[in-house]
Amino acid sequence: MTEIFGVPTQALFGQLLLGLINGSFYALLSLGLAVIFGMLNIINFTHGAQYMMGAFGAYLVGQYFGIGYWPSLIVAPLLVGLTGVIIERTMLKRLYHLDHLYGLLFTFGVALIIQGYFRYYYGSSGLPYPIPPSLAGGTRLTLFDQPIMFLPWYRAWVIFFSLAICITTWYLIERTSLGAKLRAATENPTIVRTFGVNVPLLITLTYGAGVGLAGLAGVLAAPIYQVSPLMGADLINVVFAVVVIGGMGSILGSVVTGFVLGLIEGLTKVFYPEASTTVVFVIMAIVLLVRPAGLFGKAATTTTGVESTSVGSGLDGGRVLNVVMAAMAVVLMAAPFVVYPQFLMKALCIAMFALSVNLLLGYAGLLSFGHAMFLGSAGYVSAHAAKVWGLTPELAILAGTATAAAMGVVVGAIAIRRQGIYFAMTTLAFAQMVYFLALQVPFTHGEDGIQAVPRGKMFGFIDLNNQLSMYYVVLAIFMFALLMVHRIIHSPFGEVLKSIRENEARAISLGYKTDRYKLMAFVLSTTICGLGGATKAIVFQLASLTDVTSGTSGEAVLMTLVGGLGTLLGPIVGAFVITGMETYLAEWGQWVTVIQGVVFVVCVMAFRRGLVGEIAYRTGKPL
Amino acid sequence: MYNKPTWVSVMAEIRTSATPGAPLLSVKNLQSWYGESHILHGVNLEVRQGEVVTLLGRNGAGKTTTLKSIMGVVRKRQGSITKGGTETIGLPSERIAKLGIALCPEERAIFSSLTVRENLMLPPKLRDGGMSVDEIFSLFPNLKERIGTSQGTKLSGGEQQMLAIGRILRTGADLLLLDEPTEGLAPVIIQQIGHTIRKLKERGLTILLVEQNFRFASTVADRFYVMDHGVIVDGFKAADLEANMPKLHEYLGV
Amino acid sequence: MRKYSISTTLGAVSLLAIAASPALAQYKGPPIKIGVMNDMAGPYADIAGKGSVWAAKKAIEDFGAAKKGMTVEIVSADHQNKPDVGSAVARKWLESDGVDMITDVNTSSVGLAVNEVTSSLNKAYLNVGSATSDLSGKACKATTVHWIYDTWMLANGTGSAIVKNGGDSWFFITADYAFGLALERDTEAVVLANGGKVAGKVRAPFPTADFSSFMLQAQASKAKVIGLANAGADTINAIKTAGEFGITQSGQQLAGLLVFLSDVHSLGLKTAQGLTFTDAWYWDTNDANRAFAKEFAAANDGKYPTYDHAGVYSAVTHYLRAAEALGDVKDGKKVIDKMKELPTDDKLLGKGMIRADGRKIHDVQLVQVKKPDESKYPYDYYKVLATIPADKAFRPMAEGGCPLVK
Repeated sequence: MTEIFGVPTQALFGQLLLGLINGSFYALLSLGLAVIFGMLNIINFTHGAQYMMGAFGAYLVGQYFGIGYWPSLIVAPLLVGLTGVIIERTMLKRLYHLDHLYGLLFTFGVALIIQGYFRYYYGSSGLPYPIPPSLAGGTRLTLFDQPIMFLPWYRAWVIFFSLAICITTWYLIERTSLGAKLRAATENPTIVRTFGVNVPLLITLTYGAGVGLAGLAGVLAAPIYQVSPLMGADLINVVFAVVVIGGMGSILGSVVTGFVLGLIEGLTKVFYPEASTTVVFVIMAIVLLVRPAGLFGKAATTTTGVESTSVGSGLDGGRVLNVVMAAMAVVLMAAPFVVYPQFLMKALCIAMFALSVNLLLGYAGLLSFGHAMFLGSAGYVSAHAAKVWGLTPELAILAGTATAAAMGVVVGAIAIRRQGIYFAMTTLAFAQMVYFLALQVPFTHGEDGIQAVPRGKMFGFIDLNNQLSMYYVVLAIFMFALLMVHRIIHSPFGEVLKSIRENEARAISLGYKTDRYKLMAFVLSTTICGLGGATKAIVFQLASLTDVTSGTSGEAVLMTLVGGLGTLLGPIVGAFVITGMETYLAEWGQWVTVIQGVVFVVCVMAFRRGLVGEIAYRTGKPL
Repeated sequence: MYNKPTWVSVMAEIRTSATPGAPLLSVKNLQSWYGESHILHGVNLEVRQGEVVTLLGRNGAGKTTTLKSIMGVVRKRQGSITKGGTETIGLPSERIAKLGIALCPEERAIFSSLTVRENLMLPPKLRDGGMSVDEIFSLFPNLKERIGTSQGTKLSGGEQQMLAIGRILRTGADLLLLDEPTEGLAPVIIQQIGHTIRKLKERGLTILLVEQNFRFASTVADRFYVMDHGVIVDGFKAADLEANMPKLHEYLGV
Repeated sequence: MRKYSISTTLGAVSLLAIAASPALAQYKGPPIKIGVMNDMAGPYADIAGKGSVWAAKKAIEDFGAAKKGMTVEIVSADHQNKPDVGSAVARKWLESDGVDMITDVNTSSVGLAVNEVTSSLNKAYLNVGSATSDLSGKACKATTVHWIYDTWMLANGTGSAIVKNGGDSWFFITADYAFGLALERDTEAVVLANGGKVAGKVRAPFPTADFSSFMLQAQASKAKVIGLANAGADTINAIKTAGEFGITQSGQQLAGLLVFLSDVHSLGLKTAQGLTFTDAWYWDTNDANRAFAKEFAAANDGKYPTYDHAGVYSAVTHYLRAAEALGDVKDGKKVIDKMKELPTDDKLLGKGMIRADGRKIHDVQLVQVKKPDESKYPYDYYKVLATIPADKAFRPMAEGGCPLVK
């Protein structure tokens, strides 16, 4: 038996074939995403949940109506597509005139609702769905009389069917008059409408079709993966990476990239399996460096500007704001006697996290999907420093914060060169890589995390094991962070940031090196984020994987949104609200996810200024 | 300063001129906004069946906004626009198109992601009278040669203009709104376009034309309106163009 | 700091003692509060979840707490498999909610985190759901008891049984995190000690949806046994894939190293048949167990109890016994010492004891999943191949490295 790089040829081919099968799913899912993005310029974060609904649809119609696999291939996608149509008609279409960020946040919120709901009712063990009898069994494949593998018929069907759907969709879009209308409407919807084409209907149906494609992929997946509420969440990050690599909006790009990436993943599983879930993101980072619009893509769309409450001149500082901040400090000093201090400390650390995200998003206009990587890494370093190196807490926290700052320089330098969604995806790629590292590197202890971190004595004499002492130290750190952010915003630097957010081209024409400002803002943001993470690790005496997951990044955006983008105090309020929800509603389990999703949706649809933002708007005072 | 004619006197003039046909398009007190900007402050005009009417005015007078308002592209509008008796204020563009109005925009809007053939075939046939491809080719022979081109935007400026006018003929609209069709084109091409417009008029189509080049307009138009600061300030028949030249020079600032 | 209690909504049941006649009331201590913490809606919800809460309540009822004048309250929470959530809830429970004992807590990383909290606050911790044998090893505490199972027991029971049966060459598919690696390490040691060999290993990221490529590698290794060092959804996925690729038909045996009844139910007998593993408690072994199972099913949507649920029942029962003997449960160490002093005996697990290192031991079984036609009634899934006596089933105390044992 011959070998390639120490792997038997037959095993290699078997793995490649399997990679092709996975690639089919990637292609099918990214196809739907590309179609939706191409037409609507919406990043459909709900895609993973809709894929899951397709699988569940097949399962449920099988259970309750006895509808078998073959009819389900039509019924389930239709049903899922219908839900997409309803969502688009009632809510999504109202967001088109706004910055793309809102559509993204909206679909993210909807995904949370759907996933939380299904998780609540169906748990996560997964439900069995049988392979249809007509496709059961398989065949032994041979190459030159050498056996390669046993190929199940169903898996071969998956490749064939996905290819067929991809080609059909491509043909529909590129070669038919309907497709021509679609492509034209993407370029200039207003003019196409003057020709008598009902473009809004076209858009609705396109979204429905894209969503239906996701559902179809779900039905296809049901017999070989578990029908579980989590199946979409695990897949969606990879699919996004595929779409970004292929070039957002390029049908051909998504399909080709999907299959190719499946192959590459298959190869990785042979040579270095632990990295198989991360290799896609490494490739994405590389591609974005070299070809920012993706392999087949057109120029990236830039974010035009999120609705920030910038009331009043930034430089005057705002007397009202100072009074409010002082009052807040007083309240927080008295708080531990009334409210459970552990909760307060958690909220304060998370508030620093939210402040950092808001600094970047609300003031510099940059959405980062991966800020959790700074929160978590700082936490790990701080925990390790305190526990293993025996550093005093202030040095440990400093070490953690410095780590986050350094990472910020590296990530920022690469990510800043891109705009809008590409910037966000680059940060996501890095976050996934950091997650992978956190899992592999020994000092983090993987799933267990770093436990039993000593609180120690601050500056050598303040015993942090005393709950009150710990609290006041945290409060002091928090106030320091808050004042720092306040100074940054209300400074000439902050004014330049604002101008960059509003109209970067104009800022450049005025002579500002906008990239440098954006990088500075990014590093400042990651530093504050790191401060929060490093402190949190000492307070909770634990540094775990949760802090580096993308869900945590999403939560920070949610807090900023709820509190008010572009306000100073908004993220703090948002942090307390969300952390409070998690702590006091913890027994409700998955309903918390659903509620978070609902809050996202409501904020995006009707309450974009957020709590503090609304107050600032009405009183006319900067907050 | 000349006495600016009032709306009443302008309309009286039109009525007394012996143009055949009932008003196909009637615009009364049209006000339009782009966001917060109030562009049209009460436009009144009328186009009768079979006429070629030209809107003159300097840059920023509101000519394009008028056409776009009629087509429903400008969403925020007030007043009344009736086509063949049907009120169109409040209707979306696709409904207005079905009533038989078509717009050829100033920027031509040839789609780069479509082939020339796809560009041409894009507008569907909405009513009787929608021309077939052969009929369009007979009006625009150049187009026939270039029909195989892979990208609409690879055509020359003149060819793109032909394409832009040609394709809206497929809908069967009987009222065409043409926004500066000769802008940036060579004199030879401009002549061709004039020729085509006259042929369209022979077929019975009604045309509302926006033009800066009033020399060209005079070769095709039956009547003129002059716009300034979002209102119609003057109107006269083609025959009276020479007589109105001095006034025109002042309005247009040329 | 003022103490205040946050009442939990779903899952909180309060059993109040009816004012019985003073002559019968024996317990004079303050009300007892027990916290059941586990994964309520995640990958392990069916293994423990709300069923554990029911099991705890049932234990209180069967113990006759009310008649003895004991007020016992249950609170519950979902730790979402996250150590920070688990330790935060544990701290809040013990510091400000007046909880006296925490039980269940599946997922090893959370189990270990809570272990630190309960130990630092001197409250009893009866861990049932975590797998890591470290809880009675280097992470052992005077306030902690590890109930029903651990990675060493699983590895030893399953590993040695299979090797002795002829399965002497192994290929491991391991979930790439601490639990999976520990399981692989313990099982490998057993295989080698029994004269077997390991043909290869592959680490799969946690979690993995598609095991096809790992299965292919396992197949290519031609090892007689494919050891699945993973749990929950990973195990289910792996087994499903093996079925799809005809692995068992071509002669290789699957060894599930951590399999629960709910996993088998999810897979279906057609796919899971032939799987051999160690089970800490199976419902269909005697009448008392069967009765418990039927009651459980009636209250839990028809699902039958796993050994996690039985463990919670057993742990709470023994805890109450110690509480009754002591009269007060505020001092965690005292309660655990009492629990170690008294031998355990309950209707589900039978007789057993708690060792000095906090390891609760009892007899366990080696089981095999039945073929579909061998199953006669709902949840009739296993045939019991052998019983492993308590003193052989668990790791010898001397080998654990527990600081309590010198």
